[in-house]
Amino acid sequence: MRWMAAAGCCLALLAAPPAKMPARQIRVPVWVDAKAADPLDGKDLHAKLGGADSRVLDVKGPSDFLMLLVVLDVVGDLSRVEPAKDALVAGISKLPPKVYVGVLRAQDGLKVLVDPTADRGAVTEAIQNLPVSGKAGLLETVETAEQLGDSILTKTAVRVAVLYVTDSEIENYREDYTNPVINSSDTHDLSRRFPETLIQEKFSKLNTVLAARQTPLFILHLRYRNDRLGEAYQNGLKQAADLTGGSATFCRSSGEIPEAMQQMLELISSHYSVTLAVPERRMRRVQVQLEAGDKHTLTYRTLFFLKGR
Amino acid sequence: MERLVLSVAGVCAWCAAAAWAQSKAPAPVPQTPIEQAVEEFKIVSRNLGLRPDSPPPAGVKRASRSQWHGRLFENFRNDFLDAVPHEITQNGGHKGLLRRNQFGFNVAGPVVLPHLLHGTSGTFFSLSYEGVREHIARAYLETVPTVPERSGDYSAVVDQAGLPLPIYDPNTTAPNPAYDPTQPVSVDNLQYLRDPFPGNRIPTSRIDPVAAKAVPYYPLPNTDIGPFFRNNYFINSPETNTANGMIGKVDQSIRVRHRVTMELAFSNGFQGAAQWFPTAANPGPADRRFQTRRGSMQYVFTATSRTVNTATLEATSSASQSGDLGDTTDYGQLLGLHGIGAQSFPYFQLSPYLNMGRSYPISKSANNTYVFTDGVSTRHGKHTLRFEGQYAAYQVNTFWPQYPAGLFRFGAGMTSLPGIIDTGHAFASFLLGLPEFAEQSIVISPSYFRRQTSYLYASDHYEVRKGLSISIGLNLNRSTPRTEKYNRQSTVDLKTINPANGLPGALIAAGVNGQGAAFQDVHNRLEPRFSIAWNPWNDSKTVVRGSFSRSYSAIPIYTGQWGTQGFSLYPTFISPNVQLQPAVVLSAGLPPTTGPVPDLSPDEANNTVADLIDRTDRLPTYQSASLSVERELPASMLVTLGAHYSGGKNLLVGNYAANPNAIPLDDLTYRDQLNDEVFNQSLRPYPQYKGFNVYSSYPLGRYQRNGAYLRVEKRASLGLSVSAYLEVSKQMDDYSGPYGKQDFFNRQNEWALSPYNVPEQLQLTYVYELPVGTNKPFLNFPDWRHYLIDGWSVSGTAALYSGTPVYPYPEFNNTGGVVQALHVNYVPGVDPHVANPGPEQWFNPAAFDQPPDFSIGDAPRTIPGLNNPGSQNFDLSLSKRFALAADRTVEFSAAGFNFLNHANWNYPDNVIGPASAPNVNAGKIIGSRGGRVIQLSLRFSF
Repeated sequence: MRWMAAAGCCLALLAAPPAKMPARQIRVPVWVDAKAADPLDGKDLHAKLGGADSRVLDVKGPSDFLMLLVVLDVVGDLSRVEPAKDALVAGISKLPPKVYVGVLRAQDGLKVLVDPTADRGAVTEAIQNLPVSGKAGLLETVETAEQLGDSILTKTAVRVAVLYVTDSEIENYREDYTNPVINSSDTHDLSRRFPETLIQEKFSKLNTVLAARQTPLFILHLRYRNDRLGEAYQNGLKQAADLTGGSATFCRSSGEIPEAMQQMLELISSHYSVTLAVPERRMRRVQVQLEAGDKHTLTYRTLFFLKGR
Repeated sequence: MERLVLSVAGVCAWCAAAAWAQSKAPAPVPQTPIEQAVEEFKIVSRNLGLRPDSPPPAGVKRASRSQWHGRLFENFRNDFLDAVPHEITQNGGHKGLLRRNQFGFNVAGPVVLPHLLHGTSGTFFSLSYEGVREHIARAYLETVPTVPERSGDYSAVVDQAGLPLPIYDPNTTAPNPAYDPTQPVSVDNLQYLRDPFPGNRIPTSRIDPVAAKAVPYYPLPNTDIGPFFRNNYFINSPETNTANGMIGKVDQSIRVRHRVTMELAFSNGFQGAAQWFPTAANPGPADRRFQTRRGSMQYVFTATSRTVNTATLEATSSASQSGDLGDTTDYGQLLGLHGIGAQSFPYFQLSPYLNMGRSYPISKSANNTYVFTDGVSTRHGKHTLRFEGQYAAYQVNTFWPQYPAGLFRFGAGMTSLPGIIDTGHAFASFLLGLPEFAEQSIVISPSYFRRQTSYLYASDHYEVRKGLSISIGLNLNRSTPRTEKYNRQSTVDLKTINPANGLPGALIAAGVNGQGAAFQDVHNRLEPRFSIAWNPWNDSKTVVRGSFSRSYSAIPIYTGQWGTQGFSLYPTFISPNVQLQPAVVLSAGLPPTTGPVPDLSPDEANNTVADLIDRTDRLPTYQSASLSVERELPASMLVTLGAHYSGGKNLLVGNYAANPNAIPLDDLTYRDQLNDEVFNQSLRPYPQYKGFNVYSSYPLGRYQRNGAYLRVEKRASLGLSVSAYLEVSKQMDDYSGPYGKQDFFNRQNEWALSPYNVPEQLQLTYVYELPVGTNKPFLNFPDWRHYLIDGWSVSGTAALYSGTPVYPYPEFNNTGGVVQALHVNYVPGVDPHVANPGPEQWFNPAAFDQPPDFSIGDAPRTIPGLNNPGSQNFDLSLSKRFALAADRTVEFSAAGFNFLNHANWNYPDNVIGPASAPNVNAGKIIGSRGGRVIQLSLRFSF
């Protein structure tokens, strides 16, 4: 029996996985100066996380696979939505074949319309057939969309981005963020002098969650507003996108939608995803510093907030 | 045993190792990273419930309720947090009472009903409640008679120049045998002789018994702001507000293409008005009860991805009731004033003193609106087409008697030296019981007004090419005139011959003598709209926008009983000569009312201020145009430079700006003859009427507003977002008072800066989320300190407005009732501006003069370039959020309204006296207003 136990132990030692767990990683979305002739190479990169040197584990660039999750959140004016759909279809058709596009809808809850695919016909059909109806869903679905993106980003070696195309207005949500007047006879009400409070609070909660996500979030909003509620809402969207390393664009007229869409898709497809090893310590707030010598000027997400292990 | 354990451990380890090795073995079919990613997408999206084949989430009921979100809140205000308002401090007060609690909740999420709905049916709800409990002080500064005046002692009373104000005895009036009618009436050429009261004191025996009983209802002076005896009564009285309201919404999606949304809302409120003085004669607003109900249903049908139809049905009802219906006191009997209705105190107008009693002491109304709208939007190529139709029905059910206990208006004339200004006093005339005008409203039944509007609208949004889109819309608007459910409407028709004098102008009634149910036509109007958005040079960072629109508004139904004169009684008593003979004598009461009700005879409204409904085809017309350039700049900045124009004609105006029965100004040459009511009335276009009441419904006003603005918006970066708006504008009109028109016949003469025109304004809004704490660049603490550091934000607004134009007003209007609102005269060569305007002297009153008797002023209603003090307001809110869990927070905020405790100056005294007795206070500012108010808020969100 002794020799059997010893053999088992030897086998166990031989077959056991490495004792040391893989290093914690972050995926940093990076853009290089458009004038740069050469693609970004991991060998040229020097990374620091929180002031400490970090290993560059991987670099995926525009020539690599990209999974683009397009989330449509369109509930309003056809004169904005239809040009946006047309521009989206046109923009996707110009994307390289290594960009797989998945289509989801956010109105009335997040639903998959088309799985990520290189088949542009299926994507086009799903986009064009999506009705302009329902309640705005960006705020309720963006966490899930980012969670979906992160699960792919952390398990596979592709770039991932989430793009929201939305005309959502804060008044169009099921949940009430506008604090409407309930008692019209109450003439001394001062609580609505700062009408943006509830919106700020919602984004405060949302950003706490999004800060821990690594998939860059891009938002193309089809209708710019400059009243206080609209301003607060769109400021919140911009902050949310910035937090994840993505960006938000707000179109002020239907005429600028095609160009804004094209720019947004170019921005997404041109991004690099740089994988960095996080030093083995209880690091929650990670300040990223990336350098590529004189070859490239880099733009990248500088702050990550990791969940405790 | 030890061996056995080792064996088992070895086998397990071997199995685990084998399994790990198996997982690392190459897959049968090699996958590319993107194929792995797609597989991962399918698995995760399925687990997240995003796919049709996703399994239902476990524990449905619990999961559904966990999707409920909402908040509980309390907003708290109390005077111990606030600065004492400046107006209270200056008037001798020490406190502005404030107790306010505003509380409520909101909850929203999927509908869960045990055994029926499990939250997965696509049905969502939202429920909000808000309650208010408030006591808040209202502050006013008024003038009441001094203690000696109350008993008729005018020996110490002075005019606005500080000169003794003589009171004359009307019983001593006699024609002046030496009067020269070829010369103006003056102190040296009096038409009537009248003796002053000895010692300027009205003997107690002469005081009218009704007035004597009414005086105790009047308050005594409680302050001495001045100048002289003015501004001697400071009101600092609490108002009570109680309100409860709720809004509930349910929306249901039916297979993506159908959506139904229902909303129900109600609100009940009670406003216990501030008492200006604590007696039945309180002239302040009456207590009011409010009730609002609203229900709506919206159905959205998405026929195709490019065609959407939306149908909405909405019903709204708001009801209000004011006055104390439980008060059964017979004030007529109490005062000995006969012939008036009971249950409310008679309305004594005593200008320039605070009035006693009020108009509309008891009233009830209910406004109901029913609206059905259907619109379809569809997209064809580059065109987005929209077609919409709407039908709306409006009902106003109202019981709104204006003077049920009578109106008694007192003027200086009865105690003046006839024809001589700055003599006599309204309160002295009151003590003698001699009003110059009296009226009573005997309303038999409520009115049930009805009106409908509808429209058909078509628009096309056309994308002409990249960077250029235009929108064209055309609206066919149809509005029906007001009708009354039982045809209880009447008006004076200016073409119908009056049998009493054979002149045009007689009462007509709805449904009588071939008259239809309405007095106006059905109006159909086309309203065009056009707009353009252009990115010049295909530069998406720049947008040029232009727009033009023209629209008409239908004449609304107001919550009053105007236009029902023939169905109620309005006994009116007009003094034959306001300087010589009263309309009635208080002690004698009002004569008994005779005649049938309703009385629809053509001459029924003769010798009254008759209700007049405009019967022309005019409708208020508005048009506007704008042009702007927006430019996006680096650092998330947007700059907009724009200009706009708006104008309107046939705007609805009231009696102050429309008087179809005005006497031509040329007739001022009749001078003192105009004080004779019979002669005066004979000069009017419709001499059978004292005047017309057009009740804010006469389409005659005109305005034009031009402005330019600069808006700078800085979107959030590093947590800071700022928006600034600067506007310069100029608004002119010919109707907006503030006192009325001088010349009803030449509207161009009234074209002047609007009294509320703010030439420059700057508004600043900012939000700053402090860049500290979790997820922020600085002070990111993982330990307990993050509770203190996280979630701070500051919001604020600043608003600065330049002053509105000064509108000087002459102290006396001795035009025999021809001119309603007299302008002042310019004094040639005198600059109205002062070097350093301040409260001691804001403008130079010597630049203006009281026009001579029976002549009009040559200055405009408002003085160009001479503005009242501007105003500033700064609000600030500081918030701290505590995150209890991922989706649970408590937020505490302190908001300071006017947090700098800035005092805005009151407007300067604009009353210009005659050169012989100038208003010593003219051009000076009495006091300021405003004070810091703090509101503390606590909100739990989940």
